[in-house]
Amino acid sequence: MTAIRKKDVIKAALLILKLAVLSLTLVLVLFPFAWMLITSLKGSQAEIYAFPIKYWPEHPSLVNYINIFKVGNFGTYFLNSFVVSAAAATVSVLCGIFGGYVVARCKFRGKKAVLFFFLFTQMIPMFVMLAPLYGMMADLKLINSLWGLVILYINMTIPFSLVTLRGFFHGVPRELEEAAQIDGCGRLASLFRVVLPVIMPGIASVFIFAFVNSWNELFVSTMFIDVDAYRTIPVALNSLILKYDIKWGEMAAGTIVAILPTMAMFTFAQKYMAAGLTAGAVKG
Amino acid sequence: MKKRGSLKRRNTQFIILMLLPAVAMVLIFTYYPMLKGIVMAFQNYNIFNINNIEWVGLGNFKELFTYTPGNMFYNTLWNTVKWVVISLFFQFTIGFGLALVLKKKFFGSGVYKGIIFFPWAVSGFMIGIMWRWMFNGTSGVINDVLVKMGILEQPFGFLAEQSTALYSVIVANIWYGIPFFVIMLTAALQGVPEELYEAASVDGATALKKFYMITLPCIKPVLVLTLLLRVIWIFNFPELIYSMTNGGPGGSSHIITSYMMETIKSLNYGKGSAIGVIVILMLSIYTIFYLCITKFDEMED
Amino acid sequence: MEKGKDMRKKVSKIGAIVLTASMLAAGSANVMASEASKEPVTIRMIESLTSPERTEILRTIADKFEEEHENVTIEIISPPLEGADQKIAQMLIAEQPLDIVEVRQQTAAQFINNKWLAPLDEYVDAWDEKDTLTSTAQTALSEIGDQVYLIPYGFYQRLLFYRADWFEEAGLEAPKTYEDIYEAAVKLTDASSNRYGWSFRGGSGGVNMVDMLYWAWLGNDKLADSTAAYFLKDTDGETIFTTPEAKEALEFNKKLYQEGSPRDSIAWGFSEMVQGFIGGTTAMIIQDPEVIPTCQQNMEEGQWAVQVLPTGPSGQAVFPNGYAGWGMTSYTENPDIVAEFILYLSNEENNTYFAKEYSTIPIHTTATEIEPYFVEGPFSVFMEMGEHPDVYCFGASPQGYEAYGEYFATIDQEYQKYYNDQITADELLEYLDSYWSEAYEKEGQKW
Repeated sequence: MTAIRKKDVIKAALLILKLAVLSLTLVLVLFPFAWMLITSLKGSQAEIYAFPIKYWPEHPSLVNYINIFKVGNFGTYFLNSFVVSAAAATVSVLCGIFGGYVVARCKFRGKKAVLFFFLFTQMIPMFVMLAPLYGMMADLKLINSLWGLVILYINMTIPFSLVTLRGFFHGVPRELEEAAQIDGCGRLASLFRVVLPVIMPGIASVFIFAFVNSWNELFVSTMFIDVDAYRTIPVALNSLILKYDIKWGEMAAGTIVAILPTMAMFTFAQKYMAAGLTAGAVKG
Repeated sequence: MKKRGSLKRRNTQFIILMLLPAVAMVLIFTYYPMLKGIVMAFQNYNIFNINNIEWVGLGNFKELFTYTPGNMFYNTLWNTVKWVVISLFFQFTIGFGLALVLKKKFFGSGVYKGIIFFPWAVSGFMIGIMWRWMFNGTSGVINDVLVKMGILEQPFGFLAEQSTALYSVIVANIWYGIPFFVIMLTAALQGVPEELYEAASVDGATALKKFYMITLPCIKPVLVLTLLLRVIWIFNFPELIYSMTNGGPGGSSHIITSYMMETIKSLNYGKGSAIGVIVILMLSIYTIFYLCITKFDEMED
Repeated sequence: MEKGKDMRKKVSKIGAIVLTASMLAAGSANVMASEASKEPVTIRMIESLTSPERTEILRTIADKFEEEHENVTIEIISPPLEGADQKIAQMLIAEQPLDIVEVRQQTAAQFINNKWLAPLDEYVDAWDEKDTLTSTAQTALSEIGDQVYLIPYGFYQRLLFYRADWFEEAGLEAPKTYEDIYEAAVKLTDASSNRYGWSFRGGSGGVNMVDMLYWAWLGNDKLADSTAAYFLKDTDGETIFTTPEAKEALEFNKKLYQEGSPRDSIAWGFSEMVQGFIGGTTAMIIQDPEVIPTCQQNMEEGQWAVQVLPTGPSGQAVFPNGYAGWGMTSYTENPDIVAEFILYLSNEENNTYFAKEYSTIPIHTTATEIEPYFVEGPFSVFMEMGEHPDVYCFGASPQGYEAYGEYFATIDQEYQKYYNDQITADELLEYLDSYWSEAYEKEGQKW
């Protein structure tokens, strides 16, 4: 009896601890966003700078949101960012699937070198290659083009996609694939039909990762895009930092709007990530 | 014999074709400009005057390592270590802890995971701007909250004091980096076959034992890789420092990559590139060392 | 957008023909331009000190020009302020299609050295409005480089902003000297109510402020040249940093920081200073005229006032006559029409309009006749300073030196070490002295 009760106490204590940790984390994570949201609803710069600090706007207003879309062309930037990020993430994941699969599954010499070849790219500070890259893109006539941006973002995210997916391929039992191949599937066909569904969580995470990284990229986008029509969101937000002032209200509104799609995507992918494994494939 | 040969050739073709897109892409758009960039490290490449660029051998490196009153390089190296180690430690332990807690579904866990992901959805420079503002020593909300809670007597210039500037930026970085670990590790934890746990439970293993015997080994590849990449990325993440403190006050929050940004901003591309080369070297040595220790290559089979 | 523009162009076609005809009679430069006008031309201009409001002002002028020249399309590129100069430099290196660039004092020497700019002498010589340029504008035309490489669009002279209401409350008079500023700052500082006397600038660009102190302590007569005021007059490259006055000025600034400014302001740059002032944290700030509209928008009348710059122990105030302007790229394909547009931007009507909207000091003497704004209200301070050239003098740091780039990007960190008691005044001054002595030795006399 006592043993069980003791166990119950420990269990309850653990539960409380867990809840406490979870809620504390939640508060800490959400606090800056809550502050952004409050700021975005403050209609005037004076209210934003007011001392003592106002924790709720006197006259909540949507003027900042209206401004970024009406004056700031945010709709266009949003679309640009979305197209570029989606295209880059898709291609990056595809390249990662092909490459990662081969590295995980096939035996060949120089495999380690290939892995290091991709890992190494992560070590290079962007600023070392920015100037030569600019000259190169200028020669290729890829400046001021969303295609150029897509290419650079694919390039930026491929290494992570490939190396990570390779890890996920490792986790898939070989037998699964062999069985499919015996059933007469080609290699690629078995990859797509049998292996990929199993590693869906991995693919989803890698896709989101590539998407978010492209979505938030600032320096390349600032450097390689001139005209307003091709601007992406981070550049537009950065433009709100003026010489003598920062448009906090619009900046906060823009930030809130900018994280919506990535959040929606994550909520969506979450179900997917869970579903990937519940498929009966692993259990046979 | 002949048949096997052609099979082998087909196999090789398959491998090459599958790798080609990724390799070609990276070769053209990363390696080529990088090599050209590295060349500048050995020149007095200053875009104040690009008409008299000369080879200076190791001159830029010498300048970095020579001790002068204004040389912040050694200081930035030490800051870099602090920046990486402290940020990584908290990002990882908190991230891993959350991933373990979130492994078991509970009411609202999906929503919770979605929320934990928020910080990662914001771009690095925005995070910097946001936190700089919140840390503001006169009218920042963090100060206001701390004073109201009675923790501080009066507002404190977190980013203005030599003793706290770097740590304040690290706080922002931890906040930003936790989601990455949560995402990668929850994905990895989902990949651990449930049967293993079931079997262990039948054998009467404790939770701790299950963690060491099943969870850790199963997610080791992902663990090793995420830790490796995270170190490299934290190292190469000057944006946050740049937008929060600009390396100040007095260079006290500069890390090597933010110092490099500053150098390039001062038009001295040669010296900036030399710092870049040092960054690449340091990270390569670290990576090789790390991969040997974790026996990464043995995990291949 | 595009369609609307076509429409507008059609409507204005008749007007354009009339204008072209009148231009034919105007002069030879214009004849060339109108001959070229048969082919469609795109003029690409890039801004550095971007703000949405300013871009709109430029757009308005550009639209007018487009209406008058139906074959011309003007594209304005406005990269984010942060990193704009780096982007411009990169574009110029790669010879990206650009016709007009915004040239700042900090970038002028670089652009000219690298032969990215085309000389504008012949166009300026033939310009019928060159005689109405103010004398400062005349000087700025060819101050950097041996020829005319830019037409300034306005000047940023500094002035003192202060909280009139707080001063009145405390029974203080508007400060006339730096000593007054210090006294007022200490008196108005009350940390418990988050109120401080002085908007100190210790972050990015803070060196600009302390430079003014050195000069105010030394006086204009001791400085070598208004474009290289780190060197002493009649010496072979001796710097101002060895003088006792410099040390006093430096120590004064630290005192002002420690006793009359927010602790945080050691990291303040331009925007934080202004926020501190309009947000009601600080009582005084020395800034550019651009801040005037910000105050007008965010503060109530009677809360703030402006004043001429304070003087130092030398009895003078020496300050940079900051400016920026438009330059033409050396590789532009349509130099004539591009130059015509630059001059159009700079003509009496358009520059005055631009200067008023953007709140800078205009380049034409006639601006005050066109626009009373420049003689009334806050801007009258500049008139007042202009009337006493013996007290208010121009001086600037040696921006023509190659060493300046690294200096400007890193020097604030050294000053911060001093304000935080990590190094002494002597150590800092010694560092400054050796830095500029070395630069002088390496690059010679550049004024």
